[in-house]
Amino acid sequence: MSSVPKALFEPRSMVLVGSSELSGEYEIYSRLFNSLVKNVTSYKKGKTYIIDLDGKLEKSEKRIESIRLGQDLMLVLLPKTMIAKNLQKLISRQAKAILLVEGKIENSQLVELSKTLKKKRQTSFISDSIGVVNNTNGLVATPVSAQIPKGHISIISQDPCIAYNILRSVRATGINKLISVGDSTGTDEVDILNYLSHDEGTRVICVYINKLKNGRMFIEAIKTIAKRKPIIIFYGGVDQSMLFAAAVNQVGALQVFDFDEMLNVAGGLARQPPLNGEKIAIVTNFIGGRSVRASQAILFERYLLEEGLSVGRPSEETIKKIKNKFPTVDINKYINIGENAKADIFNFTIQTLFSDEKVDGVVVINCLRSTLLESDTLRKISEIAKKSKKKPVIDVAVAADDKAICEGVMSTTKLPVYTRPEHAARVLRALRSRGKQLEKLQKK
Amino acid sequence: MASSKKKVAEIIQSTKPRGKRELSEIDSKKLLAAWEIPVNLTKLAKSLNDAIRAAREIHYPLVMKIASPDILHKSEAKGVVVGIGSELELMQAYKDLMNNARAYKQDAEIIGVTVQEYLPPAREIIIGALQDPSFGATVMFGLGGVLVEVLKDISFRLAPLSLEEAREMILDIKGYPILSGLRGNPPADIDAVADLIRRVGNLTHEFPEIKELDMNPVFVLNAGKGVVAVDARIVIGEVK
Repeated sequence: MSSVPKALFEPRSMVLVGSSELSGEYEIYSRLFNSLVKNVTSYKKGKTYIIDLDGKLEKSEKRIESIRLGQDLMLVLLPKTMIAKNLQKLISRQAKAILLVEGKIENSQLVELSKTLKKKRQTSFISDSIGVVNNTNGLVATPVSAQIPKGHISIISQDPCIAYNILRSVRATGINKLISVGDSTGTDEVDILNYLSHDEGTRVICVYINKLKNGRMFIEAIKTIAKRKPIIIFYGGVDQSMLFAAAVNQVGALQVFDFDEMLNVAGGLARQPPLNGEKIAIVTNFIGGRSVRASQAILFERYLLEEGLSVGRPSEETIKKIKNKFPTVDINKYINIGENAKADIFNFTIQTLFSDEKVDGVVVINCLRSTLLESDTLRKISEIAKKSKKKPVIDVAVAADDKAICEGVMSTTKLPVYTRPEHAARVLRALRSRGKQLEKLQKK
Repeated sequence: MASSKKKVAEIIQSTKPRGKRELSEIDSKKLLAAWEIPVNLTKLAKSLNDAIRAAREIHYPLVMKIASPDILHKSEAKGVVVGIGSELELMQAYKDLMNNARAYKQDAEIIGVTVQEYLPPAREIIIGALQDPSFGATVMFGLGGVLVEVLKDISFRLAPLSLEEAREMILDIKGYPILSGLRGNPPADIDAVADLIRRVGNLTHEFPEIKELDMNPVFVLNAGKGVVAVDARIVIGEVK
């Protein structure tokens, strides 16, 4: 396996190269460099050196020549013209990986560079990146200022804007690792995929890709890794999109078609077991008249059908058990546990459904504000969800005001909570796809 | 399979001079047959007398097609006559094909005609394959006619592919019920279709010299009766 991803995610030595006092049109580069330096200071697993070409930052050196040879990672944050001017000097320091943060070089230069580096086999080079994050060891080597909660999803993005958006949007799901790869030479997505496939902190891998150097090699890598971990692919390219989709599907990865879907599906797969059948029990706590009460469940049922799933009506034995303990619970096609339902009813109902063979997964549809249900109760549901190793539980909180509460719960527990039923249904389909894939592998 | 591989390699080898070139329908079918892909009985006739002799071997009714490297779309050039029932009809068809070819492209090189076994109408599919620059050998499957041309109801897979993957490819298309049996029609031989897709995948994976392959149409008979490719086109090229 290539040692480059390890140098990127777990550098034992790192050097930041930038200029802290640029002015005019380049001032932004100085601001970003200062932000990068600030973010990297929390990293304690390796030594960090700073090359500030203006020499104003504390504990910094001024000259590129003073960089010790063979650093694991070199992060360069400079305007294009300054990169071009210093490129050979930077390469001569023989870092394992050079990452141009917020910067790039001309394509012709990259081709030349690729030839040179191929001969030397010392340095890998990534341009047009926003950096690298590893929440396991505290590495935040990016100028993006954002709270990045720890999670189990790792992300590779070819596009720096997408990577930037991810860092801004992962409050609910959290991330384990992220790398923005842009254009590269000496390493590629396949190297990083292989690293993440063996990474203990990564439960789900997401890849945003818009062009492939070698489609066959990429797909072969996914084929091997998808047996171990779920891989979600968001393809942003236009060329060969049908062929790409077919290939991704053939090797057991999940394709998504937008950014939100990628994070929603990843959040579900990272937290819940795969779905081993198509029958989903719907538990609601809705108030209102009978028809109003059912409307959200009916809507959710429609989304389930669109995703190739259906409502699982509990067995008579399950109905009897629940009704014996909680006579007010209304069980027909859907299970309405009532507007004042507290954790004990949720707990008993969901646990009983876990042992029902007619049910493969459980969806709780609730509306926090319209009932007395609070985030604490949602946490209780998450504790029940944690107990199930075979059947997934997903929560749909349909009142939009509750989004913040949901995100809070989702970021700290194992319960995936969605505010839109169609998102939850889509996540269930992804869990079912994963279930089918594992069934296939078991048969083999 | 080893002997099939040897036969196919020999056919490819015999297509020198090198460079990208399209095999004739006869050679394309020979190559497919060498890979144990069922094709309808097809003979090349360079003259009217050859055509009459070929017809006596194959038996009426027949199909006759123009054989010319310069006419790729035979139907467009009115270069196909179906259901020839007698020697008299064959003579007329031969004359028509020659005239139509000249009218379509005056300077076309005409090798002759192909005389082919006629098969009664069946459900039609198309199977294609190509060497994609990024993904390598890939296979395409769809139902024939309007479903492919207008609705693009097709599925793809990378080769080689398992029988199970080939079955999934068939299930992927919206027109699947046409094969599984619609409105009382008996089901088509889906197992044979899956096997054919798998074979085509293996062929293009084993022989990257096969740059493009089209079988359009393939007749799918009722369950248990098999499939037959009635037209085929293969492009051979160098492996880089």
